[in-house]
Amino acid sequence: MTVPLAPEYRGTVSVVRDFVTRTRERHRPGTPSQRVIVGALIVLVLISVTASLWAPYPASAQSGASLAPPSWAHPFGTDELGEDIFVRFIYGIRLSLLVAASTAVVAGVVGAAIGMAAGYVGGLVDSVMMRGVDFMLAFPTLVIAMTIVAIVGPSTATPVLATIVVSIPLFARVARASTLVERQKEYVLAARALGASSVRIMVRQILPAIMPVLRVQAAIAGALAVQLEASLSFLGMGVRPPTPSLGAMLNTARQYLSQSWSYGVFPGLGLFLIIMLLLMLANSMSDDGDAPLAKTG
Amino acid sequence: MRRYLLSRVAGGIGTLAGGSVVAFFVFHLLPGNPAEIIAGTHASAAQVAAIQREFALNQSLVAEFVGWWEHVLQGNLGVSVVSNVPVSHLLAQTLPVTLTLIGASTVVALAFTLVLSLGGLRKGSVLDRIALGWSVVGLSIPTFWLGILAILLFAIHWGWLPAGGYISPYSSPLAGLKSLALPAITFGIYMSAIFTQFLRRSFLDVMREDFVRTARARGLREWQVVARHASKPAMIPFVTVVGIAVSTSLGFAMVVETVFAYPGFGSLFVQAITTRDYYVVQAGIMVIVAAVVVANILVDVAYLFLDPRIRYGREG
Repeated sequence: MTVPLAPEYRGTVSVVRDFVTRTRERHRPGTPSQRVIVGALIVLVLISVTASLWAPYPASAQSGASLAPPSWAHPFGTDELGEDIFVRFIYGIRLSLLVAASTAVVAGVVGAAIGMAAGYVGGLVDSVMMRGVDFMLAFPTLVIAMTIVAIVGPSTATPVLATIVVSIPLFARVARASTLVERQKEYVLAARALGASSVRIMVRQILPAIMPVLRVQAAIAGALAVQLEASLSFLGMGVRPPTPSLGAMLNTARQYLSQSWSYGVFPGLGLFLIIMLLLMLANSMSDDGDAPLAKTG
Repeated sequence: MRRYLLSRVAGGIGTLAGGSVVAFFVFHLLPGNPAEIIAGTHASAAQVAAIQREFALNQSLVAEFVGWWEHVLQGNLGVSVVSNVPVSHLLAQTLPVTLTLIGASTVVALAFTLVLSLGGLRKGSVLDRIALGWSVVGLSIPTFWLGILAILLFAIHWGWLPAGGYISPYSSPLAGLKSLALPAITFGIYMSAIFTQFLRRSFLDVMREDFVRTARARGLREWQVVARHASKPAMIPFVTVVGIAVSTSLGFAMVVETVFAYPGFGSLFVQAITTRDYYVVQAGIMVIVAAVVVANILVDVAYLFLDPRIRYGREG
């Protein structure tokens, strides 16, 4: 049974309808280009995570002649030990994605906590913390990472530790700057007037407000981490040889460039792809389509 | 203006002091006795004791630190464990090589950047889109991979340029420039990606300013507006980035020099870390800290010329 609406209710109906359509839109988050980028990243994650189920060869076992050119059996050729480069490439992508994700999450949480605390509490806490952050930001990230490797010693976990340490100040800086803006706003004052504790205000009020900025920073930090891990492994300070790492593969490939072009080309293509997807994601999430990416060195 | 400079120099000295503490204590965090690490694995007890005496390693940390600084100020940076050559000689040998590389790369980078950044004059123009794409692609390509691609193409496939090694361009210009070409272009492309992003951004912001509108309203041609009014303020954030990039390029030099087997400071530092060459690493960190500090002070001096607000004592 349809009830005819009085004219004065028609406005309400259209408001309700708008609300419904808008909620439906909200279920598909992001712009079309963001969905494409995120989709590509998800595909990469799925392919690389399931590699052990479908890969025709294990990551480190001889499966053909040494330094063979690309063929149907070995689409990217084989390396100096006769291992399939394509399979190692897939496992290398898995490692890079793992480094990116763990850096973005761990450095993001720690860095955001430091930055929010410094920005919200202010005073001495702020100046001490930010002096430390500025000091770290003054140095080339690769040098800090190498120093960490020199202290801790090379292992699979060391590059991850190093990328996390160098990314923390980046998050802290961004989180502090945004917190300083948000803490002035009325909704924060209102929460404080209602008697919310500082921790509660930071977690429940400020964190959601600065989340968009942190998301951009997380994508940048992921790209930085992939680049840094690859650089460390390329310099022989990262992941140890049997574990496939794209940077380490390129380090070996460098010695065989005149015998095999495919060894030098494909591992780098993987790095390029991941880093570019992450940077494009960062760009697409920032307000003016142009995120500050300078500190990737 | 004098107070501005003094405060910047004081800040630089602070960074230098902090960096020296890091350089000094890095090896105290390592497991084992520093004297044993310095002496190497094959040293006798007497050699270890001699090193301990020479560098005051058997005293308190503070006394050790002071003793180390005394040595540094006298130009004594210790002796490399690996090659048995004084570290100061190693630096004198490698730093000019790396500075030549960084200089050449900066020239390449600025050439690319100045052309592309003009895209920032009009948002959405073709050149602007190329500039934006360039900065994303350039930043996404790992420097060492770009180097490998360059070697594959220009050295192995076409055989135009040497794949690596260094010939001093000061003694034999042509061969020197050839050996410099691939590393400098590889490095320059990466730097230009960073530069382009900032200069483009900076131009976009400046072109929206009131004084640009005023200049246009006065009937100036567009190139006059850009050359006389917009370019100087647009340079202010850009100079910061160039300063940061040139000092962090010492870090990138390590990767580029490794790809091209370039006997510079970067290769030296990488080798020192992998072989745990105590004094070389320490001196290397100090060189990098000093480079960062000097670059920052130069940037601050550049502000004096570009930003009249600072010149007249009103820090903007």
